[in-house]
Amino acid sequence: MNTKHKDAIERAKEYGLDLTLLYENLKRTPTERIENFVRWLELVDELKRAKQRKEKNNVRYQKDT
Amino acid sequence: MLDIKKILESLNKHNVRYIVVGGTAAIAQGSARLTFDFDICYARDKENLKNIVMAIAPFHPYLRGAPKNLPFIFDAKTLQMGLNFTFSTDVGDIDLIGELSGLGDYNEVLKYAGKSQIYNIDCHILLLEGLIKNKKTVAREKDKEALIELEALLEIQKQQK
Repeated sequence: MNTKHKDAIERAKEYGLDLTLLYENLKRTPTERIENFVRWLELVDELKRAKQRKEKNNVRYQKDT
Repeated sequence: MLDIKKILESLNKHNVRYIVVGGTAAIAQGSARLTFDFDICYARDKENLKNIVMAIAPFHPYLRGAPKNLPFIFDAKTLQMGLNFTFSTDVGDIDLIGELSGLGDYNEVLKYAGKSQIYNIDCHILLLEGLIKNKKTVAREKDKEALIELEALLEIQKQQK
């Protein structure tokens, strides 16, 4: 194995990257990887909406009290 | 939210010459990082600029972060006058890149690209070596982790071949 290449993996481990995510992703097709990514985006989007709803409800609560 | 399928379908429908670069290209090759925009490097000949306009205009592009009352016309002339653009659209944020740091224009980036299929749509994507070269040239502190990941990914890919 090329030492330089070995260093790239070691460096990632030392940095704290979870390499199991990469190994899992590489088992997937490009489309599956993109679909997986889109699901994450949907989750982020939902969390943003939940935050907005919470903030809106807090304003209502403050007005009522 | 980003709708990659719709963007790719429209680009191909209008015969746009483009290469998927940036975070989406990295994800398509196994990166576990998130991105919130879709970056393409595009050819800047007149015909391609017209095709880009036809492909992107239905998504109502607007200069990202610009005031809403700014007069802006998304046409080939506007694209001709600029180089790299960041747009907000109905299908998410799209960045049009005329020249990619460390690599160059469309023809240069193409040398570092490979053919791929996403959602059964044929497209060129910038391969890991090109993504790494770009990140090394830009050398932004925020890209440090991405660069480490890309280099590890490249090595894992090589080991698996």
